[in-house]
Amino acid sequence: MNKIAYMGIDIHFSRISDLDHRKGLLFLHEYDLPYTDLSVLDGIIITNHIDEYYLLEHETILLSYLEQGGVIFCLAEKSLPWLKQIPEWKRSPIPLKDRELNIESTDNGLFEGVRTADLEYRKGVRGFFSRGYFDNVSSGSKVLITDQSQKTIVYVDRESTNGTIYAGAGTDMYRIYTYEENTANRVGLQMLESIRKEARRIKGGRTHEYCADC
Amino acid sequence: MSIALIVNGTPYQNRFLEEPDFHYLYDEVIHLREMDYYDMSKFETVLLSCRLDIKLLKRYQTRFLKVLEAGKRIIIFGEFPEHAFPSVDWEDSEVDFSWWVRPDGDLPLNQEHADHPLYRYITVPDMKWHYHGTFTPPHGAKSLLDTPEGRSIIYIDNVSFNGELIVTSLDPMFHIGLGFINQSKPFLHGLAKWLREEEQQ
Repeated sequence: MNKIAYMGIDIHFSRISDLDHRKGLLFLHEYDLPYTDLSVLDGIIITNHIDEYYLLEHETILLSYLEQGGVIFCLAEKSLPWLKQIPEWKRSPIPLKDRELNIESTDNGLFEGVRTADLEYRKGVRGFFSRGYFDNVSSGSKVLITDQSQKTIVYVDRESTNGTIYAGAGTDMYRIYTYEENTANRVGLQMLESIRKEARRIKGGRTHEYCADC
Repeated sequence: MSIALIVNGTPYQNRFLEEPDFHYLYDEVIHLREMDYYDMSKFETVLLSCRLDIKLLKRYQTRFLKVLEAGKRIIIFGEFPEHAFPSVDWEDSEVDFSWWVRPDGDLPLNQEHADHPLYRYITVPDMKWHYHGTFTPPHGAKSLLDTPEGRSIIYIDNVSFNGELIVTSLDPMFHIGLGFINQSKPFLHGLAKWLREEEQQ
């Protein structure tokens, strides 16, 4: 089974644990992107800890990866046009304490069995999941989560490139819910599984479960 | 006084720079990757934003040390693992981000060196949102705020270098850029006013 890259600059909060490794993740230092063979990956998770200017200088790499059938799960609050298929993030005018989520759809198992309240709150604090939204997502995109004003927070786009883009407006839903004692702790693994299912679908490979020891 | 702010081009740093309320904090913004193109000797104070690439910080460590050896000031924000800067002894800690929603919740922190001039501009509550780690200050450095275990979350080191090194695990630029945890704003305003007030003295 191929690895999934977790990409960011090298900071304390972008490094991955032994548990993450066992789940099939590897850390991709963003500055190694031009020197990395992306074709051997099942997907790339783009964190919010990225040097956007560097990605802009190397903007063809991610697009080329997608055009070759790659899968990207973007968690960045984009402020620069380094991958034009993903719109820039916009801050929501809705106060964080009032912000609500709606799970509109699931996709490849992503968000199945997850309660919105578990995403909205962590230990009673609201505002972790989303403080903003995407405007003008690509036509044909499937919207997975919206806020109460019907703004898109998470979507999947299989139309604008030969690959697949999952994008979430601003939180690291892989990392932050890992140790929550509610349904939100499923999201990280669901993300990885949805990336793998999508990679298999695109590559036409057979379906099998990820094996940590393989 | 000229103040440089070092950033790494992350989305939250880019949005922090869009905040007009904080433009008075810095005179020049330098991307960490472009340190080679700048003469750092022209700055009296260099601010290292939270969330900077550790490998790049190590690459440019000698450049920052020269700033301090020239008698200037550096302020380090946020996590600083792997001795990315000599004398800075970072230790991870569990983050209590929800203390304020618990009944009678508190984030216990003890004020130290209350006579330091910075305390004319900031209060202890200004520094109480959460912290991701703590430091052991070098001998002779002054901690301004300690955890109950006696480790510092902000200290001032006037003894290790010719200049002044201020180290805090607080991460205001990150939170202001995210638009998450407004409590970080009074702290950064207080620090900025202290820096700017000093230049007029």
